[in-house]
Amino acid sequence: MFRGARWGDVLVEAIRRATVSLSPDIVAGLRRALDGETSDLARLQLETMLENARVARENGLPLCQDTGTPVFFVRAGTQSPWLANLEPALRDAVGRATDSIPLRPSAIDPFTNRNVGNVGRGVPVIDWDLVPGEEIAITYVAKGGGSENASGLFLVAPGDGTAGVLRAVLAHVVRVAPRACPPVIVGVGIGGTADLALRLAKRALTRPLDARHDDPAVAAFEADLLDAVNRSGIGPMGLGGACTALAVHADYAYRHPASLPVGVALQCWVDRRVTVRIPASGIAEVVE
Amino acid sequence: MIRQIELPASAAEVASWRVGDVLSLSGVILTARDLAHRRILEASLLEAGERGLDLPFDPTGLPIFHCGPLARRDGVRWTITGLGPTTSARMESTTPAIMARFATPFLIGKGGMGPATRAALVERGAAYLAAVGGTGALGARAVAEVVSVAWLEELGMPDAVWVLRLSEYGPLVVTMDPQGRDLHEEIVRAAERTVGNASR
Repeated sequence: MFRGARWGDVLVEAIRRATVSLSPDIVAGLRRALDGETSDLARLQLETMLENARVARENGLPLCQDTGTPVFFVRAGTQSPWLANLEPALRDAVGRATDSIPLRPSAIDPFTNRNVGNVGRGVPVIDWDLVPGEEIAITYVAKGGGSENASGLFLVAPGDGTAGVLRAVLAHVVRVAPRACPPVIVGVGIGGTADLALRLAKRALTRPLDARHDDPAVAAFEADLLDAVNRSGIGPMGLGGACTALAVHADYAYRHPASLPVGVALQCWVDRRVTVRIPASGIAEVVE
Repeated sequence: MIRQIELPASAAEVASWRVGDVLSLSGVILTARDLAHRRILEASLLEAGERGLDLPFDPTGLPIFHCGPLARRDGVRWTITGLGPTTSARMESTTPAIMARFATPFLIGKGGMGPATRAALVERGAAYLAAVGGTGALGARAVAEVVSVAWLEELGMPDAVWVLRLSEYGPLVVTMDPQGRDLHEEIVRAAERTVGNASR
């Protein structure tokens, strides 16, 4: 645990940790995957990933050269005294982390192709969720370009039900997972509007690897989809094997009678993710 | 199990690579991704006309690594702190023409490429090597020297062309070989059959 009186410094430290140190739940997930692989190529991929995690942590090097688009998922207590300063502080933290770690400049103007660093129009991406209370909880996720290009949105016919949702997501994941650095984590948002479905899918990626949805029907959907994805045989880095996905995280919102939107967000195995809590006192801490 | 390859590799050496071979490379490569491919291709097309566009590096005979490195500048010296593959499929449209113009012996990336590149590999006796995605720290430690960097100002750090001397960079798996085998394609076809059968 890292605490600090200046919560801006705590944010920079949190970004550094996520960049160089693979989450313990992912390390455990990769080890389990390794135990389940019999193919030499699959084992080589997973062993190299685990070796990379060790070398990165021991040398303070970024796990991946694509240090990603910075995304902050903010659960902001509306009574927090720090709310007004939060957005500039998040942008400032990314700028400082870019210089000090350093992060790769990865924010590009789509019209001029000019690379401005990691802070620009719309980035870092900030997802706001206002909740009652005095505490702010911020989960930082670095989103690599390869996995982001594997996103999908499907407008499923409501009559096809959850079986139709599963078929659509499965077909998509099998098609795109080889380019998203598998074993991946699959986020699925079901219902709501098209944009909400994608947002739910993204937010679902912030859960710890082994956390299942508390609704048993959703948890069953997660288990069924994970099983089907892993029976595809795509395997680590798409070179064949038993583990294509480490987890499926699903969430839902109520849908319109005519509409069943399904958002899919994938995260690569280098799931750089860390949470910072800022209580009313301002003494922030990085939560492992 | 891992074959150590010194670059430049002979044509006979590359022609002997087969899907499933695991290699480790030592020698000079260049990095290029979407924007650099476009610029290199434009330069080669101009050269075919009356006026040549000088490239600030010579891609002739160099392996192309689909990679946007992470680098730190200490004074005038660059240190690579992250090196690993980016998704190769994005370079599919420009690759066959570049390989033909610059005698590219092989490609390094992740995720494989499409049918046009597969045909170009067979025609040229070339190959595609898959690096392990997300292993930038291991890659950084395999960089012996930053030989040069071009287009840094115009394209930015990831899209610039970095000419690097590598030392035992690997493991790299041959996934598309000079005989036309394509492991990526084989795995995806099998996966689609499995998924198709399951949902019938």
